[in-house]
Amino acid sequence: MATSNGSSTGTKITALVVDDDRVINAIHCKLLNKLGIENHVATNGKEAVDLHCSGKKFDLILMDRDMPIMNGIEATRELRAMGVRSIIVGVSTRSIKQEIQEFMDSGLDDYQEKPLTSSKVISILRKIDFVD
Amino acid sequence: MANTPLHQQLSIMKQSFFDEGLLDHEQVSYLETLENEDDPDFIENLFTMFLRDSSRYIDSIEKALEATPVDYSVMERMLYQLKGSSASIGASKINGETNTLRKVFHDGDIESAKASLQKLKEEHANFKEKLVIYVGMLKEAKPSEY
Repeated sequence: MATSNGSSTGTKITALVVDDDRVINAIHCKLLNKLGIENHVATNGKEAVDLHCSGKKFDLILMDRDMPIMNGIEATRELRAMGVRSIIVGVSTRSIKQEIQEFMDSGLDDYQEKPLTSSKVISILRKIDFVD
Repeated sequence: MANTPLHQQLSIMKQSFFDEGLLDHEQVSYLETLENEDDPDFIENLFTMFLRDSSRYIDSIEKALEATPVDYSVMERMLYQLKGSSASIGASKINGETNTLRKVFHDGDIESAKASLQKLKEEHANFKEKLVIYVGMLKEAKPSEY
């Protein structure tokens, strides 16, 4: 689903962290930063959708499942319906197969259980040929 | 890192967190790799943020559980929130108690859920008491390093 020529803003990969938890956002932004990835934060699905409506684009979106106002499932569906082709990775604490599948079916490219680590992010980026 | 008495105390205290199962060694070590000169207060700020937010989550869980009828959607969201943030900072015991509460709640046993919540609150209070001291010592240790 990602474009093959990589970043939307030159050579640096851009990412959007969508989560309503400040601790998670702080950790995920820090690890993305350390990997040289420019990152932004949205604290719920609606903010993520609004960012895209305003014309922002991201190579990678890390989407939490459980958020107020608009959850990750609704936001992912909305973004795909808008034609957003970014890599969207669901990031959640849910471990029940059905719940994960429900999230995947909304349009995710991948799903990772929290907590995210640098190696998990690198494996995602490798899958989409962003890193060697 | 300097080897002053304060730093030695910090080391001992950190090890006791691991030995008591309050913090997960691997996760904390990973978080420490994310800290750098540009953001030397990352760990302290993270722990402080967690203590504040987790207190709020637990309060919301308590209110939701005491409500008539029980507010299931708030319970669900707050439990997953607490599960995620506690796992992310390596707060193992809090994560464990949250999972226990989640299981009991999903089984539909509200009275057991209330008892489980009390355990979670005790665990949280114990963790908070110790972590506040640790964060204070971390702050005190910083000027001599930088």
